[in-house]
Amino acid sequence: MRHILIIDDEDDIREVAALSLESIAGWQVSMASSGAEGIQAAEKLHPDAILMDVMMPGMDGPTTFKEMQSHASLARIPVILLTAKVQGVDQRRFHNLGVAGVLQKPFDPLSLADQITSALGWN
Amino acid sequence: MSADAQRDSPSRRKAAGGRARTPAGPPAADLAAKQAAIRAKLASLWKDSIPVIEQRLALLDDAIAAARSGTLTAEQNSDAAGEAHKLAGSLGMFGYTEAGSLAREIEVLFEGSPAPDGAALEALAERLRGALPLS
Repeated sequence: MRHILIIDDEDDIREVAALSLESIAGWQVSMASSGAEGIQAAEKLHPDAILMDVMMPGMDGPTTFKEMQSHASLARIPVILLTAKVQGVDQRRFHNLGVAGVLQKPFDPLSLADQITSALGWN
Repeated sequence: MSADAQRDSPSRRKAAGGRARTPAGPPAADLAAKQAAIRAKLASLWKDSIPVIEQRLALLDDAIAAARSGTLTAEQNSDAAGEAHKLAGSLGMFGYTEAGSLAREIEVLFEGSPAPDGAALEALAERLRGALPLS
């Protein structure tokens, strides 16, 4: 069973994403509500992939990703960023960080698992 | 304290420490059944989210009133853009795509000027409320 760590400061986003991934894909889901908490969770749980919000108070998604890249044990975990930024320049900036994918908010709960599967080449 | 921090929802407790959780039950027999179950749970999650949505709309109302009176501060402008951004990123996942688009328009107006058009913002906010089942 795939194991996904969701990192987002918004309760409703975490809940809907978890609901989608558990119910549709049957994946195991863990959740964290900040970048710092997410790093701790990733070190402890070693999920198969991380779905992380870009805009979070404190350590934002890109900063959290860079921090993870400096940890040998976390650098190989693929990270997908979730963003409500719609401009191409923002999307390219996030892709250029080296993440596995960038998904747009709002996402469709019925297709989120497919989007992640496609981004990670899990087909 | 943020609206999120004020909530002591089950999700926040589950999020603490990044503990794993496993699917609550066996998968539904087919995709249609799974989708129907998700829609039902989304409706329930939406009801749980209404207090936070109301708080965000109230913050927008305050900022819009300030914009109309010419007293909008830079911090208020930034906060309002942030709240509109969160609404734009979440309402669509509950199926309220028009409301999400209206929130995006509000975000753009706040982000685009230190003195955004208060009347235009007020009209958008009124349409936004009208597009959401908040009761």
